[in-house]
Amino acid sequence: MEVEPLTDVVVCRCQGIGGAEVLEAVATHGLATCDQVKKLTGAGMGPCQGRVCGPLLRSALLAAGVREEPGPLRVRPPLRLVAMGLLAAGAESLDQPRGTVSAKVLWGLSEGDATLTLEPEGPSK
Amino acid sequence: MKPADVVVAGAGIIGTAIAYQLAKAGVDVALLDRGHPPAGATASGASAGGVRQQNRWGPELALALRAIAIWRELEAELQADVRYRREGMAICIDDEMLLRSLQSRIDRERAGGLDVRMASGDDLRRRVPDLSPAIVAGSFCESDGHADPIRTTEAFARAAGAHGARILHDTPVIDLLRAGGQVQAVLTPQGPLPCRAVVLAAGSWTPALLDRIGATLPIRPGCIQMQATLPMPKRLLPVLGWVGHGISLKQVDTGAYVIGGGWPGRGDPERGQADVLPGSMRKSAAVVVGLIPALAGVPVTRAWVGWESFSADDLPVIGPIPGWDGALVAAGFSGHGFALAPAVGEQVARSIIDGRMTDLLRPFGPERFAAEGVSA
Repeated sequence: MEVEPLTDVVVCRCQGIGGAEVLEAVATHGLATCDQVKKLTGAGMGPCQGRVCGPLLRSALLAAGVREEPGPLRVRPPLRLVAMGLLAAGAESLDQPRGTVSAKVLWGLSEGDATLTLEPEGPSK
Repeated sequence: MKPADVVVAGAGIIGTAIAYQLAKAGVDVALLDRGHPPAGATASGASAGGVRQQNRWGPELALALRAIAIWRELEAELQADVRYRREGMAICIDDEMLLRSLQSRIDRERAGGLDVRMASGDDLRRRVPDLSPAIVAGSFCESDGHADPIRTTEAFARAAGAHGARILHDTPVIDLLRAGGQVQAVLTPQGPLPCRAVVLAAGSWTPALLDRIGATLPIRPGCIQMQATLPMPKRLLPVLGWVGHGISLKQVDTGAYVIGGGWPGRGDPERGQADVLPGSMRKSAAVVVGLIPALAGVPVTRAWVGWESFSADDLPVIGPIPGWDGALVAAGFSGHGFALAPAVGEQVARSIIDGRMTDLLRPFGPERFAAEGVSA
């Protein structure tokens, strides 16, 4: 299987950040950890909180030649999406089993258009 | 280490703005930070990014007015997109009993030269359609706004470097050395760096450094917490505040709502480590929903915490450090320094070059605490 070069890959789909931008930031600033890349470029700050891009950021840093483990991204509460109203009501979002958030709520679509299901997941590995 | 004319300790928004102005004026400056890039990792990373002039106490208003004049040209000057948006700010009230104090603040700010006015609840709802019907009035200032703190800090650092500033990361200032009362060098783990002057702009790290040199000032570290939502369709242009409710709400370019308001995190200043306080997330969310009920369904994606330095009177501490000729402090911004930074940079640089504090900065000197017997 042919592997695409990192420069051609969208590393962070949530925030729309490409591999070229990540590699440039790493080279320009001598970044050494995934968290530093996140802070500078915004990759990993989106809804998936690094679940998708975390491993790619790590690969980018290892490819750039960092010597120490660049580590997983620091986990930020609330771990998975929780509606502001639930948070406000003091709901124990982390203990909730699988929940659904309607796409209307998420994107302002009309009711019945779609429903987005949020998978219960632990912190990114 | 190679000497510098001036050392700036701390590459957050304040330190980078000072270093930029010094370098631009041709001063040989070294900018040191304890962290690895992107440094300025503490307060500037947890700033809500408000760029406001309203609700400033005493001498801060004049400094804020000067800052916004610089902000207008800042992106062109630094040749960077720092996401500066000047779409106004409303500070709301939900009780007519508060009208009088709101009006007196507006009067005071107008007398100080700020174009701010009283807006009715309906005026505000025309600008912010989803605003709670509980809001009865507010102050509105067209020239307030917001910007991206990390991008702004990075832009100042980059521009400082382009003008010849030497930027040294992973290089904390751990002590100052003096002879005959005059600063001679800063001490770093890599050895002493000789200098003629030094500015301590190390945010929450500043109090420990001041203690170390026996110049204790009433500045203490504290951690503040923020949260942000999923990107949503753009609906909120101005920044919103709400008297008595601890909120600074804005919708940034990505569409995410960014929520500040001075909610505390939980941290250990000795280790510089901080954790998100769930109670702060909940209470802050409740305020958001109270102000804009339609945001109840918007999901929060993340919360984070950063260290900041708070002064005894919540005003910045900028000026000469007693007993250390050539040493200045610029810290204690108490959670509202980001907007001021461009003016602080300009004025501190001018003060160093002229050898005396500028009129705009003089009210912020550490000596104000000595008068109250607070200083050690």
